[in-house]
Amino acid sequence: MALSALGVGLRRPDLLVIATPLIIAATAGTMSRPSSIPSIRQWLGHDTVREGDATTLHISVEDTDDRITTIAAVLSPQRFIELRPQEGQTMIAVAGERVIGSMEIVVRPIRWGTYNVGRALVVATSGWGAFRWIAPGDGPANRLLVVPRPSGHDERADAPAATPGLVGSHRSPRYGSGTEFATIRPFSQGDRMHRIRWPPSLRTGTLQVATTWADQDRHVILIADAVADVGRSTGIDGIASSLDITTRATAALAEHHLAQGDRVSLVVVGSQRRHRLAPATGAQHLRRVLATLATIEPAGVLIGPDRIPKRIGRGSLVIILSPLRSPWALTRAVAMSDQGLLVVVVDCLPPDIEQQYPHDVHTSAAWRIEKLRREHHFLRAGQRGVAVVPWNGPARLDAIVRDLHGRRHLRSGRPS
Amino acid sequence: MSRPTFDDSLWLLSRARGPALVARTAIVVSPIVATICTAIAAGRPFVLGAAVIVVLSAWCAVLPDSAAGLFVIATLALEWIIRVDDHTSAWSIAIAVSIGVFHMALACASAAPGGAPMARSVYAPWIRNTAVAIVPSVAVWVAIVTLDRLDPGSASLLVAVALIAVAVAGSWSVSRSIHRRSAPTRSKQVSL
Repeated sequence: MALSALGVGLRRPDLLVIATPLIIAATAGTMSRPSSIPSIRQWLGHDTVREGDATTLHISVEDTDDRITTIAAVLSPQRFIELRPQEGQTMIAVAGERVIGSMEIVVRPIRWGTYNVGRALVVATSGWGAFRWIAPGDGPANRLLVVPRPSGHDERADAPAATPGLVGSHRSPRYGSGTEFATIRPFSQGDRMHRIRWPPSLRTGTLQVATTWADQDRHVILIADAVADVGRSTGIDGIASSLDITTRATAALAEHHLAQGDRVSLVVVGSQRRHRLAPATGAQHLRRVLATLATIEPAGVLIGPDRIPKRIGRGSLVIILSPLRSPWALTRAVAMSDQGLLVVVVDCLPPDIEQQYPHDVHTSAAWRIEKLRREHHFLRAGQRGVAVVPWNGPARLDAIVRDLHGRRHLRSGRPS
Repeated sequence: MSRPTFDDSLWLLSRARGPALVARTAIVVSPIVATICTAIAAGRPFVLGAAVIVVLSAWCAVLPDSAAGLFVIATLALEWIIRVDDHTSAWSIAIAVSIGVFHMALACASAAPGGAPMARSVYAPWIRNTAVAIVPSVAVWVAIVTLDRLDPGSASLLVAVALIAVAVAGSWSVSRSIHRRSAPTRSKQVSL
């Protein structure tokens, strides 16, 4: 308009030629101008997913005037979140579709944790690009809880021995009041009279009583070391850091034991938040465990070893998952083993840690030396009755636990 | 999320593919073509003006929704007014086409994120609108050349009528503006 006025004022008709495209664009744009503001709404399909699974960010635009011609949306990329279409940018033409235009951006987190997916920048444009609406950035944040995907490599492992008739497949490790026969032993003070077995008593000449396994499921205590995250992480499809292995292994063990009816409790050491779950069983408890693991944030310092319960029932299975960078895990494991607990330490250091630094000769050499030092410590822990094993899946661990259990009963002269 | 910053826009530009890349290329190239046309019409180049145009158009390619586009058009028009004396030069059509392409490419780029896959249904209307905007320039030029040869005596009346027409058109455009209301979204008007 200014150019036209200038052309008329200066008596330069050539300026009218130059201004013609602008005048037409302005006129057409003004005529296609909507009289009301469209409403833009966006929401996530799910608020909790497993890492590697995808959900969808839905974006809906409602235009009562039918003057919107294009809708574009951009969702800011984040580390460990894959977006489709490419880098979260999408655009559709809605002319002729009347009233409502909707689009979707696929959000696929590739690592466990809590994410603020944020809100997409949505831009709705009228014909000729004359008017544009930008969706407000405020409003409720699209938070996404990504729980770890249990990892396991149990293809070659034996299936764990099942004991039909109990709630859980694993019988209680304790003797006590129950129905399942365990063994026969000499009578001692406090034994009930109806437990006396007369045939063996007559054969041996001393009173013998039958003992039973307690009618209680096994208690599995999972202790996850989240003091530090060692190594690189590129998500579920790539390289795993120590914390990735720890959380996925913990999730796998929880899922495995809860599926078998065991009671599982969880303690996370070294996390910024207080993470401790009391023993429970069932699918709901598994969801609690996974949600707890998803909120782990390494503190960088050892905090929370006091969260480990002081009084653990004799016969409970304690599994410590740690990259074993500091001695506290092994020290605590040996102490627990000395108390008579069945303790297994799962080494969660990435097996290829020294190869993660191909261009750093010194770091790679340091890791090789560190691995030698760890081997020595593992050997000493093994001599104290603590098994240190690399993570190969929950059923593999079951075989190791059975082996440990058997050895312990052999040492104590009791049958396994 | 607030309005995109320069870094965001640069990132979007780096992701531009296909039609989005064509639009951003047109934003840079069309003002340069207009400058070259002006230089040809004037018979001599204007290096400083060309340099300003190049910088401003590059800025527009990064930030298509900035006010730099207005300065590009103003600079091109000023350069034409100062340097070209022939009021019926056919090069004005080339300038009009360049400015039309620049304007539509700028509007398209400000509406479309660089990396978004742009379907034919999205970019085809922009091409059609560009053609609709620039083709009448030829008719206007023909009309001006015809009027110039007729040499009408009532030039003052013609100017007065034209000024009134411009004022009415401006008033109509302003009256069609959307006033901000208490709606869940905020509106932003793109200056033409």
